[in-house]
Amino acid sequence: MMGKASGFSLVEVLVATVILGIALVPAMDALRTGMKGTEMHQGFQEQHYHLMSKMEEVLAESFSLLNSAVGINTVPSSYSNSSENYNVYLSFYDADNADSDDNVFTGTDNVLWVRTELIDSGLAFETLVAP
Amino acid sequence: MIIRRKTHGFTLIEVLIVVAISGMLMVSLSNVVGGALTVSEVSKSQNDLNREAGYILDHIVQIISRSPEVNTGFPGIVFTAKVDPERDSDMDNYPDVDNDKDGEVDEGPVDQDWGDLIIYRFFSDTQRLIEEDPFPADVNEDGFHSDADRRAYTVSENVTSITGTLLPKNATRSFDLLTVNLELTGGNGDAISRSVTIRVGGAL
Repeated sequence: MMGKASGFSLVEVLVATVILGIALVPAMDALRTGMKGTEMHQGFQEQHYHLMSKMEEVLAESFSLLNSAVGINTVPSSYSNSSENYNVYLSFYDADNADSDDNVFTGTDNVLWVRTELIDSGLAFETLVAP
Repeated sequence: MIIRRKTHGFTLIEVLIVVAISGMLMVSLSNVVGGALTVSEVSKSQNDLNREAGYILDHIVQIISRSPEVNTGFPGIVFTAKVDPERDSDMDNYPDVDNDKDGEVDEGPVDQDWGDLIIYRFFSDTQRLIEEDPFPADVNEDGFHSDADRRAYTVSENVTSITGTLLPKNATRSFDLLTVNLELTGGNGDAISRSVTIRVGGAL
């Protein structure tokens, strides 16, 4: 009399294979997400240093030159450079709200507001400059 | 009468089918897994390089933006930067640049204060970037504290290129600008490059 032979049946093997295949899909997806994250991080870091450089270049300018280039806070100034993909906004900054209009971009306080931003990107730096 | 019971197990056809399917799966899976491993390695390498480049540049930005003077153009040296005039690393209430601790810095003919330069050296053969820093004590144990008391730190061992270009201040520019171009190469040949321009002494 022969006992029950042990081992996987064909159906079992096929089911296991299908489960393995299904499990691989999210695993590959996670890997793809990781790769995408790396690329984004790389791009973000490049943008960060690029924007930082541009801000430093603007801040290295003399106060009188920046002062003469001041315009409206929503319009890119002459320091902008679309071929290098960045805009610079310059405006007077009313720090003490002397004109009581609760708008820091009207009135003067001998302080300039500087914003550099990458075009088509959410990345921007802002700072104030005093003489 | 002999009764034959049906034996359980694979028939030859079943085994052949499983072997064939397994073979095909193994081939496709090995490609997928191999590709995934490669992608994972590249991703990790790029991440490491990004992090390292970020660390190096952030560190350099800190030094340059708090240095009153930076110079370039010396052979084997990326740049030299005078130490932050407010730095007091031994916390003795005298800035590190006041070497003779008389309350004055670079005070004149009887000046006992030396240069206090941070020096960035690059060794292309070993891909090492070294920061040499003045130490506020007799670290070389020669009996007195002098300009020779310096410590060298390896900032990175993956640098394949680094340059420092100085744009001096002029009639329209109030600060010197230093542009640092950095290229790092990982063990598997991946390379990244970053560039940053910093105002010399911009944070002083």
